[in-house]
Amino acid sequence: MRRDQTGLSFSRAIQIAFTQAYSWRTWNNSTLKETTLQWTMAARILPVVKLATKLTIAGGALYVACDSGLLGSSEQGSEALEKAKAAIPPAIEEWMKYFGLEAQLPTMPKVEFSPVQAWNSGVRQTISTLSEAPTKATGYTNQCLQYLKDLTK
Amino acid sequence: MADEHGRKWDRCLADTAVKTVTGLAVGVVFSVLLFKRRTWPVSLGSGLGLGMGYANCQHDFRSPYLVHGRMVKDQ
Repeated sequence: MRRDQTGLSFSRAIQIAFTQAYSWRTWNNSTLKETTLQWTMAARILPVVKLATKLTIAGGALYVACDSGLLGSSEQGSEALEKAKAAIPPAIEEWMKYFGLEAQLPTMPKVEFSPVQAWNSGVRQTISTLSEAPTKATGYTNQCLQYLKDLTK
Repeated sequence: MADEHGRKWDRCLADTAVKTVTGLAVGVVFSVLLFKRRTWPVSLGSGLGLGMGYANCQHDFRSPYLVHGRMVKDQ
């Protein structure tokens, strides 16, 4: 059995160290109890704080949506849409400048196209075609009959 | 009369679009924060927005004598 300078074996040194540590813990038991209690209380309060923060953020989002008129009457909704349409292009330009993408992306060409006008003209064309269809069908039928008569002559 | 009807349709579609998108956004916030990124709050929010827009449109079309005017404040 190897012994150190004091004459103690390794196993005996471990036994003495463990005993001293246990004695230190029992001597400082009151401090250990207070620290453990504080940590336990913090561990119990933390989930409540997290839930309260999440509820605050979600409730705040809902309040902002209601307060800005997005969930109100139809006039408020259409006004909000007009404001958003007016605010989005400058916001996009600012963000592009911030990220330095202004020189990279080409400018959007302005297309003179209105979906409302296209829809309205399509409806007018369809209705006018339907209203003229019987007259035109009669005329084409008469032309076909005349052509057949000319062929049989 | 026809112009007013057209304006009502414009208002109705714009309002429905805004409410649907708002409901979708609020649903996404609730889903991410409270419901562990599940799909049903998003569906519920967008459905609620669509329903509110439909109800507003219905109210607008069923009230033909209500004129949507604007108040000009004296400066």
